Amino acid sequence: MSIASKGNELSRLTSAGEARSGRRRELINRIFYVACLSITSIAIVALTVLLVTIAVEGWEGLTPEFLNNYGSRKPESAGVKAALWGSVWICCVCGIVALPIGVGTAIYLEEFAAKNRFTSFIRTNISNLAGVPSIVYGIIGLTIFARMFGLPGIGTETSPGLTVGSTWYDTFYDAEGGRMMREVPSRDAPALPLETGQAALFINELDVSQVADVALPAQIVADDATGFTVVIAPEEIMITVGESSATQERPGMLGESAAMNPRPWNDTIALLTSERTLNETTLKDAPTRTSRWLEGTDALGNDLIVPVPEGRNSIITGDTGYRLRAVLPRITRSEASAESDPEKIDVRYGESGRVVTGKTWREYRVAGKRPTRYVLRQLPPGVEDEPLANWVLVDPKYRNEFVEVGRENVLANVVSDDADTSRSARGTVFAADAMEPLKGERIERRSWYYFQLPFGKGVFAGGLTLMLVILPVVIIASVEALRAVPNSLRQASLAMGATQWQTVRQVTLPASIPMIMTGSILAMSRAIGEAAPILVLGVALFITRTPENLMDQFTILPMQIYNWAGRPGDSFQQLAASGIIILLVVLLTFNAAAILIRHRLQKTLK
Amino acid sequence: MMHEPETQSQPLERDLHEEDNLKVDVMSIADRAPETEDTMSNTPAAAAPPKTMISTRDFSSWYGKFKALHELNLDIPERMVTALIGPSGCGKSTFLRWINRMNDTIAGARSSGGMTLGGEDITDTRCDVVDLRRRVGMVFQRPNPFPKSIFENIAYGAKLHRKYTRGDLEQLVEHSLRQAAIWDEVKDRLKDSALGLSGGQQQRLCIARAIAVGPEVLLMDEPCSALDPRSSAAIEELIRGLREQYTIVVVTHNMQQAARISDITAFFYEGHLVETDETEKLFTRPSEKQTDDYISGRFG
Repeated sequence: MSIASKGNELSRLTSAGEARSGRRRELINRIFYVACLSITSIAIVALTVLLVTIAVEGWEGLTPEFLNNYGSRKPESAGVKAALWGSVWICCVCGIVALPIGVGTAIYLEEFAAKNRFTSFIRTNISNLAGVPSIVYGIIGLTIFARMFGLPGIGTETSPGLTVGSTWYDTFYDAEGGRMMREVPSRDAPALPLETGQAALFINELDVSQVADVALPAQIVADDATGFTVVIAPEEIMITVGESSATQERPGMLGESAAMNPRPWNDTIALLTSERTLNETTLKDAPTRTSRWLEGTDALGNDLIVPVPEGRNSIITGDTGYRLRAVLPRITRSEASAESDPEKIDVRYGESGRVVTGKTWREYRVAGKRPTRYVLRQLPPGVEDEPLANWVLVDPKYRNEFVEVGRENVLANVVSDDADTSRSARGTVFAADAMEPLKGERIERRSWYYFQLPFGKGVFAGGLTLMLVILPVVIIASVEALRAVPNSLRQASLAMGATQWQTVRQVTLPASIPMIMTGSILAMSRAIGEAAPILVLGVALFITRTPENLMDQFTILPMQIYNWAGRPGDSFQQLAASGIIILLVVLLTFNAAAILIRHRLQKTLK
Repeated sequence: MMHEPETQSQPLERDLHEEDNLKVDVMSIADRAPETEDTMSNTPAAAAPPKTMISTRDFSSWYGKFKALHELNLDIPERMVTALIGPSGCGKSTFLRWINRMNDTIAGARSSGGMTLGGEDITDTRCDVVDLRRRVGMVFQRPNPFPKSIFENIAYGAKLHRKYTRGDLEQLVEHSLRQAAIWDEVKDRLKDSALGLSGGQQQRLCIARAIAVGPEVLLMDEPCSALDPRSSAAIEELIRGLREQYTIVVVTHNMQQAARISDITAFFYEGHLVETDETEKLFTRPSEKQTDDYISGRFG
């Protein structure tokens, strides 16, 4: 075939087939253009409607209070402070950890690793991980970061195996104003976690005993088995004791004598509250003979009368005007001590100087298996210059220890049931008013660099969990960015004798940073809005403070919004809308920062 | 490679605009081996036989199972321009890239036989590739300046190997650019991006970048193929000027160019070295018929 005939054949083939209608092609082109435009418009309209709706609903709620208040059950006082700062913390941790790891991985895969089956396996898996639902990462985060698989020796979230930057203090408050009296670093973390309402006392400023501070109803107890009579009165009561009401020598003082005119009363226990009086409740079954009794009057003027069995030692307590708030378990007598030296226990008013003042109060032990109990004494009026023991508190958990504490710098005795560990020490009372019980707790102060293993459900674990969510995306974005750098630049650098690291550091990475940043911005935007993994991590929702260290508890905006949105009532819906606005602002702020960084870097390159 | 720190500062104090001094200056700044009586006499102008810079003995190369080079025996003389010519795929570029071991970056590339640079075996795995590439600069087919400023482009390679004061660095950049005959065009915009230069300027920038490191050998892989004729002429002129100080190996498809710029020409065909001779002789009286066919345009 000659060249000419080849050309003829070609011109025949180029004009073969039916000619397409030019107008039709133009029309299809037009339709497609309109279709694309309308689809785009739908997206824009939907976005606009969404934003306007949220703005209209949530705009009014955007007050300084909304930003400054913590979560609340009342919509008018609810705010986003904890969630806002929680989100900021989480995103910072997430970004600071995810970026170096993600970019580093990408650099390794793209610049250093040989292209073999192993690295392609890694690549495939990273791509797969990017598609894993975020809730799955929550479970991974909970297991790995919050609990660290519960490995032996690593401890648990609440009692971590390793802590750095944590100090324990024993803190004491006076009962009235809640004023902190003293705070002393304690040597060790408490063996038993303190519960609310428990008090603690110092002995020699070293030993701490826990004291229950439980409000019991007022009681006058005559324990037949032990022979002690006890008055327990959380409210102000007045107790007088005497042969009869007429024989009171000094009103408002304590006394004891044989009952000349025994009255019928309950032999065993008399309950006293401000509403119930002894007369009404317990004067039915009168004992046939009683030689001694206690008579008291509560704040409302009700009489209290309690028998004191014949031949028993008794302790009488209470006085006019005194507020007795010590919590007193049922008393038992120290049989051994009572037998050898009954005066230590038989406290009588009038025999002052021996037993009433704290200085003369001596330690004693309780023999046998019965638990140690307390003794309550009081200061007689007029004797105020002498520091006296006013009350005694015993911790039921430390059954073996007997602690007596008075006002300032009085003798405190610690007596153990166990003879070997018996000890006594001088201690200090921190109550301004010794008639009031101390309130105390053992608290942990954490510094800003506090760190623990396992991490627990803190900011760090949350940030790392989100890091897991976005890490595959960051890696993929970075790999693509590095791949987009022309190979000729690498070659040029290597040909000048640069090492691989020098090439990455000075050529490849600077050239790819803008794209890496773009990918990271998208990833971070996802992290900010993510609620599911944090939900699975199980963080608390109602938090009334902002995080102060990486292990601190936190909540995040999406969780807070989700919670509000799920509640009935328009006011909560409005809160949710305001929260969404805040979330968007945070998101845009982060993005703006990243775009700014990107622009800075681009400027130096171009 | 000798290091003479005390000679470094002295040339810098001279008048920088004295063209005659510049050639020496660049090499001194880059701490190149100083000129000796012996090497000075080996310039092409001298009658003494040229000293061999690169020497290959039975050098073969493979990409995986494909044998790209077959038992080459080629001596490249010092301070001359050696042109490698031949049709596409004949192994010229492969050979060139073995001289600075750029083939190391290609998976599956390997070689056998010997290749020495100044007597040192550079195919040895113990050979320090970083130092080798400092001694053997390379200019690529397409200009590939870094997306940095003109100044940074030149300073980049120098800063990889040595720590400079700002003043020394500025002088080094200036001298390198002068040497590459581009100083007058860019002296007012050193802070501008190198990507804003024309193709020919970019290629001269790349040459300046390569000589700023202080190499002994310059490899050029079709340095003019992506340039217009005027830029090509500028580069050719530059190459002719540079051969007094550098051993230059040029790969080119353009036989007129090879004839114009080179002292020695080697003709490659399908991985074999067919013929190597003085350029004038090879282009006028080739001893092999294959060469004759190629240069007279009967194939290729």
